[in-house]
Parts: sequence; C-alpha cells; structure tokens
Amino acid sequence: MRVKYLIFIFPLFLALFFLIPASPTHAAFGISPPFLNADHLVPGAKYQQTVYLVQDQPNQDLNIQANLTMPQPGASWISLDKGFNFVIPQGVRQFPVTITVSVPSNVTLGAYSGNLTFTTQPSSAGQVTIALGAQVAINLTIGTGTFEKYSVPLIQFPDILEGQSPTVHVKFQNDGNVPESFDGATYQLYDQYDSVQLAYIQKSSGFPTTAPFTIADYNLTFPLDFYLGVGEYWGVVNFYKNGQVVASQKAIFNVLKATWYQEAWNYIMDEWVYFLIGLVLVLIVIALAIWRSKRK
Amino acid sequence: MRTSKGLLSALVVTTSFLVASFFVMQTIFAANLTSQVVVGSSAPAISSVSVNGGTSITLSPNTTTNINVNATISDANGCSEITTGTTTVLLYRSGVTSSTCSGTANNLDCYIATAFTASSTCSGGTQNTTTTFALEYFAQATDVTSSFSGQSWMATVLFRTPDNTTNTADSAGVTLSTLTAINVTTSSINYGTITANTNTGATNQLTAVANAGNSSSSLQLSAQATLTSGSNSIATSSQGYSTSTFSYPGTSTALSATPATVAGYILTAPTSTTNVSGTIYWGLGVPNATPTGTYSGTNVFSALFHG
Repeated sequence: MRVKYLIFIFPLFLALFFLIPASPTHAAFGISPPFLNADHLVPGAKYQQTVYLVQDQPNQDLNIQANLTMPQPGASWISLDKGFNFVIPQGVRQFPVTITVSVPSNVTLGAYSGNLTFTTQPSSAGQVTIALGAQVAINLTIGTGTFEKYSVPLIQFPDILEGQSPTVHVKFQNDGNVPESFDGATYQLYDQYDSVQLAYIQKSSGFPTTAPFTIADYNLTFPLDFYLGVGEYWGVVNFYKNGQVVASQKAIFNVLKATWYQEAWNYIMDEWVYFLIGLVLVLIVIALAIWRSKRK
Repeated sequence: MRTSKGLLSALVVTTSFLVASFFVMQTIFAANLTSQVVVGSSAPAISSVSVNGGTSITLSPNTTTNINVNATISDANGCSEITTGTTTVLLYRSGVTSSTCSGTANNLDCYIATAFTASSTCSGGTQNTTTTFALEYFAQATDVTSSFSGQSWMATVLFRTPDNTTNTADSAGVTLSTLTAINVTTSSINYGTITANTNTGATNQLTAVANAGNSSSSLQLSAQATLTSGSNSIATSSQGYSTSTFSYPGTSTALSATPATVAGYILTAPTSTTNVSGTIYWGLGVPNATPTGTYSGTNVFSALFHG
C-alpha cells in the first residue's frame, strides 16, 4: 500500500532540490571604458580601442565569453585581439582587450550601433550560480569629412651615452581620421645649471607619421656637431605644426660614461657609410686572395 | 770708505724698519685681507613631471589602483638640498586646480602626498622621483562621456629646500577612464526545496548589488544557463525578479536568456567607500510534472553604463 501510494504520488508532487553549497563572496567585475565611440570614421578606416576588463579579486583564472549584438554589416567589421572566448589569468586585475573596427571602402555612410558584452563563466557547478557581465556600447559614424585631433601627452629626455646626440621621446596620440606628424622642431641644449646655451638645433624633417586613431611612441635625435661629454644637461624642445608650437618640454638629462664597445658602436653608427665601404673592400680582398689561391 | 759704511748702515736700518713694519702691519690688518665668497641658495628645478607615464588611467573595481607621478628635481647646491628638502605632490582633476587641491584632499578628485620615493641615486644635484597614489575606484572620470569631459588628471610637484627656496611644475594631463562595474555580494541564489507545481510564494531570495565603479550604473539580468538537472530542465522564465518583495509571480519580471535592463534600478556613482547598493528579489515557480533532481543554472548580472 505504501509503495503504491508513493508510485501514485511521485509524478504529481515531484520535489525539486537546489543544493547550494556555501561559496565565498563574489568579486567585483566591470569594464573601462564602457563605450567605443568612433564618430569620425571614413570608408576604409581602421579604428582601434583598448578596453580593460577589471576585477578586484583575481584569485583564479577567469573564463570570459564575449558576445557582439550588432546588425550587419557593422558586426562583420569588428574583431577582438583575444577572440570571443578567452581566459583572464589568475592575478591579473586589469585585462586589456583591443577592439578593432575595419571599415570597408564601399560602406554606406551613416551611423551603426551595437553592444559588446563580456560575461564571466563561473567554474563552480551544482547551484544557481551568479555570473557577472559588462557591456561596451559601440557607436560608429561613417562620414567623409576630415577630422584633425591630436595631442602629445608625454615628452621625455632619456639619458644618453657620451658622444651621442640628445634624444627626445615622444608619445603622439592621433584621435583624428587623417595621418599626423610634426613639421618642425627646435632643441636648445644648456649646461647643468641651465644658464649657458651650448647648442641650438633646428629640425624640419624626419618626423614619424602617426596613423589615424592610433598612439605612437618614438624617439627623435637632434644631431650635434660636437662631442657631448659626461655630465648633466638641460634640454628644451619645441615641436611645431603649421608654424605653431603644439608641444614643448624642458627637462634635465644625463650623459653617461660609455664603455669602449659602446663607443665603438657609436662610431660605427656615426660613420656607417665609411665602415660599410671598408667592409666591402676587405671582403673583396679576401675573395681575391681565395680566388688566386684556388687558381694556383 | 766711511761714507760707504754709513750708507750700508742706513740701508740695513731702513730695510730692518721696513721688514718690521710689514710684520706689524700684517698682524694688524691680516684679518681684513682674507678672501671669501658666499655661495647663495639657488632655487630647485623640477622637470619631467608625468602622470602614469602619459597614458590614460584605468581604475580597478571596488579597490584602489596605484598611479605613479614621476618627476626630476635638481638643485645647483647639490644633493643635500634635495634629500633634506620637503615636497608636496598633488594629483587632481584639472577642474579642481592645484591651489584648491593643496588645501584638502578628496578621494573623488584630489590626492596629496608629502613624500616621494627616490627612483635613482641622487647625483650632481639631480634626483629622479616617483610618488605613488592609491586612487579609489570612484575617482572621477574625465573621458568624453563623463561629467568632466574636456578635463584631465594632472600632477603638480612643489619642492622646498631647507633654506626655503621653492619651485613648482605641472605635468601634462591624462584621461581617467570611466569604470562601470558591480559587485554582487551574493554568490548564488538558493531557492531551497520546492515541490513541482508550486512556487516560492512570498519567500524571496535576495541578491545585493553594489556599484564598484565611478559611473552611475544600471543592471541587466539574463540566464546564461537555464536550470537543468541531467536532461531535465526548467524554463528560464520560471525565475522571476523584482526590485521589491513580491509573492510569486506578483510584480516580478520573468527572467530570459536575452539580457534585459531592470527597470528603475540605477546605482548612482559612489562618492566614498560607503557602498551604493540595491537588492534584487528572486522567486521561482516549478512547473507541474517536473522530475525531481538537483537543478543548477547560471544567472548573469551585467553592469550597464548609465552616465
């Protein structure tokens, strides 16, 4: 009777169990920045932006699934350097993901929008677990107009070796949709007390071009016509574009003692043409000698 | 002959007198003949001030993020002037200005340090320095969608030598990026044991959600994996949620696989380490003829930028 009762009752009052083991407090998760606004794209443009997936307790590897919700054709232009499934390694609090937008040349001008969602994949099972997500709003505007916008957030004067010419490190950020570069620069070299000007150098070429929507880091050398010895010096650099000063910096830097092989290398670099000619001549002489010895 | 002796005697006496006079005069006036020079105190020079290496600042949620301010301090009077001097390093949102920031620190937009770490050995009166600031997760953003678009975060370094000569220098500005993040302090939803064809009624499960970023945030909910037990499953829409208590299904919204924004649920940007948080209330209805089992699934809480 009891068994029959159970068989009868069982399909009607099936019990549902959710066995939830205790688990630690969830970590915080998010994204920075939560948007990709590219307002000045042109057909054929390539735009890149890095967003960071961030967490406060990177105690273990974190599986991430990305999901793009965007109508075609916009969705086909977007790619992620990490792919759409990847792992944030344990210990990494800020994980960069670079989003690339490759606009075709034959695109219809207009606005394209969508969302890119990143979701954590909980490793635990057997419970109603909570996953965390973060979303990047994507807003693209394709037009034809030229948009110029750039900045120079960093200019540094790295230390150099004796005999070398002063060098300036530049970080050039091009937020516009056309390539940008400086078109002139001046460099003033002062003694360690910033009181006696030792050199004044003008430069009007050799500036790297920064592609649209990119950040470039590069070094510029200002050649001296004299030997700069060990010591401290002040440098003042001004960068020009269309006759206007667009960036400047004044800072102290060191000229360090060079080892003999560093001096030799500097010499080769400074006189590389003659070095190359000499090297070719030596090789020719060796080749002739080998040829003659074989002939005998 | 006598004349010669007389001249010689006169010469000797005169010479002796002159020599004696020289020593007497030297003794009297010796102190006034000592040369001296006073080396004045030169003002320190500050250069190469930069914030975070000139790159944008990205914060981490619900915690602090270390940001470095680098600078070079020089003094023509030598390293002792630098090692015994005092410094104030400010890191602030440009709209605040250095003069305002130097008055009172504020974790939202102004950080003050009164010491630096030497990042090189002081040599020839030049010292490279690094000052590390622990920026809170709610420090104000300055990117294009923030309330402070057009501003930036910059540093001002002030150095004072022991003899009170001072100088200051500013860095270029860098952007502090918007951070949208949440912290769900509940790690799972436990509905307990529910028989088929019944529901959770007025018993709600609670999940607390805190804003862990520097922007207002709304919330999206979805099911990443519906409730399953082996080959059996419970429809995703059987779970319901609400921003207030309810008796299932009552005022709850059915969960779906597609992320849905929770209406009226906005976590404003925090202004201190005090949590800005809210609660989501959950309930479940188990359809009739659902087989017994331990059902498991995954619900997704997504932070959504809200300005």
